[in-house]
Amino acid sequence: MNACPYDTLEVRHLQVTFATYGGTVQAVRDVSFGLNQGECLALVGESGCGKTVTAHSIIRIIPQPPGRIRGEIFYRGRNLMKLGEKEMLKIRGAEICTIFQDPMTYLNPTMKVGAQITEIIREHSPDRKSRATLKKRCIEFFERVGMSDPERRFRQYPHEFSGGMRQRVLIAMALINKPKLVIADEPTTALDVTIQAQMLELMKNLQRETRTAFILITHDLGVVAKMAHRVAVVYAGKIVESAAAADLYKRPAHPYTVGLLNSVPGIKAVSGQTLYSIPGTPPDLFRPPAGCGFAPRCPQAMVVCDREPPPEFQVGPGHFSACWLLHNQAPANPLRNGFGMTQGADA
Amino acid sequence: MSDLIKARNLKKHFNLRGGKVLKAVDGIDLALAEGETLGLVGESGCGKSTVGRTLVGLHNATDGTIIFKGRDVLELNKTERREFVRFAQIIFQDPYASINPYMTVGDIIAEGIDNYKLFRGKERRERIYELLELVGLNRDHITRYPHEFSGGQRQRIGIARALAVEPGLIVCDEPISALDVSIQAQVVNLLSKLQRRFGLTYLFISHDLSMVRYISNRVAVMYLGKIFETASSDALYSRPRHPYTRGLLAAIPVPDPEIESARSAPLMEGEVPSPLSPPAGCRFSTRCPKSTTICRNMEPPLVEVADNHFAACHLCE
Repeated sequence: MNACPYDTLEVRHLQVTFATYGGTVQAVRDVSFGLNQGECLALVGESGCGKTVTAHSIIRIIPQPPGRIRGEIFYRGRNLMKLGEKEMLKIRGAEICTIFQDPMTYLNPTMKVGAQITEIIREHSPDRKSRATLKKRCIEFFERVGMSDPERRFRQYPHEFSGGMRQRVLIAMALINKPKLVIADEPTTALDVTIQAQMLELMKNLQRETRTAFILITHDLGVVAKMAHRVAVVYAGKIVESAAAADLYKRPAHPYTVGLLNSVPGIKAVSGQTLYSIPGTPPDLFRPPAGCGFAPRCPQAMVVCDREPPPEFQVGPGHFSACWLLHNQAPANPLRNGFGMTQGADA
Repeated sequence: MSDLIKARNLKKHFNLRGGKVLKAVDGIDLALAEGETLGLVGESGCGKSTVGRTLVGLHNATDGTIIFKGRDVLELNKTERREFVRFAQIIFQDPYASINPYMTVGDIIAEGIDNYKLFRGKERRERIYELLELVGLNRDHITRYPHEFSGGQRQRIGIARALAVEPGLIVCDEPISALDVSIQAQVVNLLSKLQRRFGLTYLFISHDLSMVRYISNRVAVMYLGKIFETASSDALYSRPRHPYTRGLLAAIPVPDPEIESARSAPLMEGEVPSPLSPPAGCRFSTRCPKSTTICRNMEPPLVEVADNHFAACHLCE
């Protein structure tokens, strides 16, 4: 790869392992991706596939030991892996911000919400600001994230907020310092569908408006379809397929992606019909398989799949897939023959 | 088909500190025909789990009747009640919290068998083997402990435990919401297979409307302790009548970027009001895009708006 094709973030060959009593877990096994300003990249995958560890590595909140991180993470030309903790503190919370899944564990239950937000502004502003200015900023932002009665909300504690309101607080906290990159880790998983729809709309609008780069981590392909420009599908610590969002849904080029897309019941689904399901479970990352991680569950696995990890094949502009079925010596299969192996009617 | 179990005007109120009363379920009618699956959906806190728990006897109903085979469950004597409880089993949401980590899988599954003294010794073990294979686990899992299993496998253990006493009705309380997408489909397919094989009746509680559609013959939508709409699942999804059902359906993100980008902003604003003080009149009137004066003053009854399609809304009559 040539020098930094991405202007905001580039992750190169990230590998993260954790030493535990039961052995070493290879949580992330060679992950590379990047993103530009104004772009929303979704990392999709099942639990335990390494998406959250990837996000935590970027903001460097993985304790080492037991964690061990290899690879390079470039943020606007600087290698985050080489920065000292003091410099990292300036970036974290100001330029790279996070929205986590569970707002109740992220907010401090003993501090008023207003105080928690103004603290973030104060910590990262070069000059001292008066209390009144801080409060004004905060209340402005509360209004922007759709909080009713912001003056009163400013003085309340987190337990007085509903789940949806707490998530709004987290979104406000992440965006108030006008970051360049926001990492949203399952931001709506704990919420009801109606609240989820509101939050996604809010995040999408704010993201488009501020042209912030967004990394969205989720397992919900519906959420991805709503938010993301590009998608990387993660399986067993590796990116198995990456493509523009529209392309991925129309022409999935990895059996795992195909399986995932087919196991989501569409809104057009008919009751009583058997739902497609991927057999088996993800591999044990204490002893990751030598070949392709998906091979044991793959309906089209070949001999080579168990032996050698597949390289990345380009299947279209900006569309990559790591699957041996795309090799020119593989037997004829739907993936190679112009791909698009979604079951049922194809557009 | 005749009704296997029927709840009429079912209420479950919880007394809280300070004299407050939480009306989790506030007068609902529900009927399950033998061999069918009724999906029960709604946002968190709407009372759907309380309905399921009250139905199988984990909560005592505050008011109303539950008719099972022509008799009121709440008036059964001790022996009859034991038989009813055996007949109506439940599968819980959290596969980590709902099975005892100190017991082996075999003992967990056999708890009901032992309680009802169904099998002993060699027969008991054979029965456990049979159940394990039925839910897609192996015979040698019998001596293992729950921590050795993944979420999906634990849910299978929970299903085997419910099946052990040969029930007719199983309340599935969000059995798949804690699982990954690819595993959810496996568990849903397993539940359907078991239903066909044993003629089970399910009350399938979930907040995931797209999964409910797959498994249910009929669906009931709940909001703040009341049922707002019931219909066959095809009718409910293709022609929803209640504005709340429409809002819920519109809120599901569709896994297709083209459809998603063409959709407009969500229909429903705000959040579910506190069940401690539900709004007067129609409980949905505070969030309903179409609410009128009558909605804010009078509670709409559940009426038949089309063939076997019931809705509680002043505007759909």
